[in-house]
Amino acid sequence: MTEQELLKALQKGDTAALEELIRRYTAYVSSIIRRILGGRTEDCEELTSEVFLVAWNSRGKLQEGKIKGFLGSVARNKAFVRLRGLHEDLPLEEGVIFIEERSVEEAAEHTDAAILLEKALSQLEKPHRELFVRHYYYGQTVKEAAEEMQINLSTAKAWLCRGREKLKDILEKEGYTE
Amino acid sequence: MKELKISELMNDYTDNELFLEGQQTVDAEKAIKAVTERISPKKKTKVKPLFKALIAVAAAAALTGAVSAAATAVHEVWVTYTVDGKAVSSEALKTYTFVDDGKIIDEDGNVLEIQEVDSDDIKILYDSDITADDYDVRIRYDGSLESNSEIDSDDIEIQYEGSLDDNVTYTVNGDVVSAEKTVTYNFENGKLVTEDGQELELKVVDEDSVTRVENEDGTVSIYIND
Repeated sequence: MTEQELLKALQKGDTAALEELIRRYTAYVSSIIRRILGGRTEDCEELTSEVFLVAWNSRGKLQEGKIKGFLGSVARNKAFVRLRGLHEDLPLEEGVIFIEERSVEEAAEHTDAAILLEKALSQLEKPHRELFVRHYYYGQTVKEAAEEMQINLSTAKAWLCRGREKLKDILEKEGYTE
Repeated sequence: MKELKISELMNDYTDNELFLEGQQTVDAEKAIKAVTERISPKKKTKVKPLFKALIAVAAAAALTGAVSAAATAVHEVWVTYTVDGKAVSSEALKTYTFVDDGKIIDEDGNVLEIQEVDSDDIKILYDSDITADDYDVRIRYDGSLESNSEIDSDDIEIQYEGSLDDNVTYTVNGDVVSAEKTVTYNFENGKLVTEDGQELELKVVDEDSVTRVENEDGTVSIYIND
């Protein structure tokens, strides 16, 4: 079944399509949740199911080519909310960037954040990108990510700094607006 | 200058690189079973008229009513109910998560804006951009439940922790419109008991553990401070 066919069937309320969706994306969804929550198996199972329940309830809004992104985004948010519920904060390394605001006239058109993110991160070398995603997407601490990637902590922090600068640069140049 | 949170920006990212196939993950068939059980139709259960008032008290805001029970000081019942008394099918249920910085995040990860004003009126969480959806909220009850006691608006806060079915639907003000399933609670010997005879765990809640926020349309949201 193509994604288009899957989407059509889902939107018609076909539960067989839902089952197919779950089979296709359980590994992806649960992997995201597991990365963020660590080894909490029951939480992973519960949240994985919740993500697909959300997808089912939002099936009218799903778009072709964006299903995986949607599932990933919901999975990530649910995992972070669960972490907050467990009173575990995410120590993100300088988690904000500041960009110059541009007026509506200056920005040629509303720019898709997903496209800009991909552009910014694609310009990083692979290990830098991996570190950035591990920390800012999956919420791994810098220390954990550095250990898994077998780099030292100061190198990891420098890489993250470079990643933030690249992201800021692209967002400013391309006229990112919310 | 505009401040952007990187973690929020990353909501728009799809990881196709770091995710590795073949890692041990949740069993897909297990996930299918869990999800399909939750979306399957519910059987209809009649609500005893006597306890419609209790459900109304549990679900609605700013009511007074008679409650018959022996008492303990504080009860917590967590209910799910519809906005404006319009019941929706369980398939259209939407879950909102309250996080401890006063924000609500919906199932899609969107942060909903809150207006901050204190109010003693306890009403149902409502956002003008959201229509006829169900909300998971906690309402805290503080007071004693005695025969024919009156509960005024300041007392209507009921929080619940127990094995309540996630897909229970209630209507506001006790008017059962088209609920797929309703659950009746009885107060027996100071305990909250479901219609199946299951005792619900009671827990004391501090005043400080909830936050009330008034929304633009005058309704107030109640948040649990995690």
